[in-house]
Amino acid sequence: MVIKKINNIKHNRKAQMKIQQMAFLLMAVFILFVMIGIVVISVKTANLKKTATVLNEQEALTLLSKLANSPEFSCGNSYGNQKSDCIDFDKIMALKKNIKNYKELWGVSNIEIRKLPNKNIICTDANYPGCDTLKIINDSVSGYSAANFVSVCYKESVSGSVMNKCDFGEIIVSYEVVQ
Amino acid sequence: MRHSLKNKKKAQLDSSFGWIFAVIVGAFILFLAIYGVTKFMNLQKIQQSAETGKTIDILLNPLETGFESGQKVLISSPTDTRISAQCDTLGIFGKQKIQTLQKVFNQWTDGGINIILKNKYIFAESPVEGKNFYAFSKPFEFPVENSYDFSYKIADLIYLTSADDKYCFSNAPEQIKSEIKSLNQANILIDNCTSDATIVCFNPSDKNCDVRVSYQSGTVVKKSGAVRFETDALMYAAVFSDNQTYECQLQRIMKRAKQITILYEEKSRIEKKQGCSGDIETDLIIFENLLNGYKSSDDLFGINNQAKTLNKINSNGGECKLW
Repeated sequence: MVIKKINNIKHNRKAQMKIQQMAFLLMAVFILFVMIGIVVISVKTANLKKTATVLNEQEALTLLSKLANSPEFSCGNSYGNQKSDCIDFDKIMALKKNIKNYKELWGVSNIEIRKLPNKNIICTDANYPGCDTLKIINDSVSGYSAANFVSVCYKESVSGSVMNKCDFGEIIVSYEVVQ
Repeated sequence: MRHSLKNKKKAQLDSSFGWIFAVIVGAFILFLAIYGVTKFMNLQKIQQSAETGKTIDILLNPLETGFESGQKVLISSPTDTRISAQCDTLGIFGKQKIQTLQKVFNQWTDGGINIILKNKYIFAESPVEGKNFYAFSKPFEFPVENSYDFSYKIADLIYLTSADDKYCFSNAPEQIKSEIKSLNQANILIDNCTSDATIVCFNPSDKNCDVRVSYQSGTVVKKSGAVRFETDALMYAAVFSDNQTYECQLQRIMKRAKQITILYEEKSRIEKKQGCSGDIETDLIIFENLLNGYKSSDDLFGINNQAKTLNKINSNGGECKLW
């Protein structure tokens, strides 16, 4: 009777051990799959961020020449004949005043126009056109920037008469890096 | 005997419990793995769709630079692609949505993501399918008439077609013929129409026409109905897009025109401080109100008349021209 009981207990323990072994093995396999999954997803996510940043950089570059010739920026016939890569500073000043409507139109974080050489005199209503830097959209972000040389034209009063004036300048566009 | 039988049964039960446990947990792991892979594949499809949409956006940017009219780009995809260019008039400028789907194992993938662009105006049938797509652009200017030298530009209109969809312009005016020849776009034919092409007729007596263009009445008539146009840029827009897209995009263009008019009002005030004089502001406000009330292409005529008045005042502005 006692021997039988001991045998039973031995069998039970052996079976429990087997189940435990199996459970641990399955757990290990499960954890292995999860870890492989995490590695694959993190590599893919890193690639996705890289692709998004590269696409943003490309967009910034192509947007530069597009912006300078867009109806909101371009000189048109306002300063003599139609010119390519000519920015109407007066129109940009007007755009700055209505920027809340325009903020999402181009999908960029910063747009800045600078006359060259530049003393970093920020344009305001009070000092315009005697200034050299106009920040159209100015979100505080770190990211990729691209610049292009343009002519910056505006009307100026010289001894009582209105004159067209064009300076050498640059347009800078910035994008946020995808985090 | 009885005890050994009992022991055997117990051992069998133990081992079968082990199997059942292994099968249940194994099935659970397999289910999770399949679920994870399916989710991951869907994510990949969405990523692919978003990437293609964004790439199309970037490829179309060169069409909006410079003053040249009728620029062309070819967009190629390694697999069959379906591009849906949808239009939405909500918001200050409205939205252009681009959704792309790829053909995998002879089936269109689902779950394409919408890329939203606010500064593009794409005229296309929705959707267009193929491996190669042509896009060309023309500027839309006010007043909307071909002969004005000092008109002000509102936007570049982009016409997107699949290389598989052929269009044939029958008896088109000379300026259209020479423009299409210089475009050299393989899917737009002149006069020698094939049976698989959409035939665009310019002469009222032409037969077997899919689209009829009348410069006299300023209408483009299709099976789905008629729309009004002024100038060649809008004629192309009406031909290459469905009527709903055409009307929606025109509404977006009028919204942009309204914002640009507001800029000119402000510019006029700024330049007055520099000594410019003139009373264009009142006419600009009238123009802004007309644009604000724009409903459909039927309103184009009235808006264009006011644009002509504005243009006359502006061209007499000497050194103080606003555009």
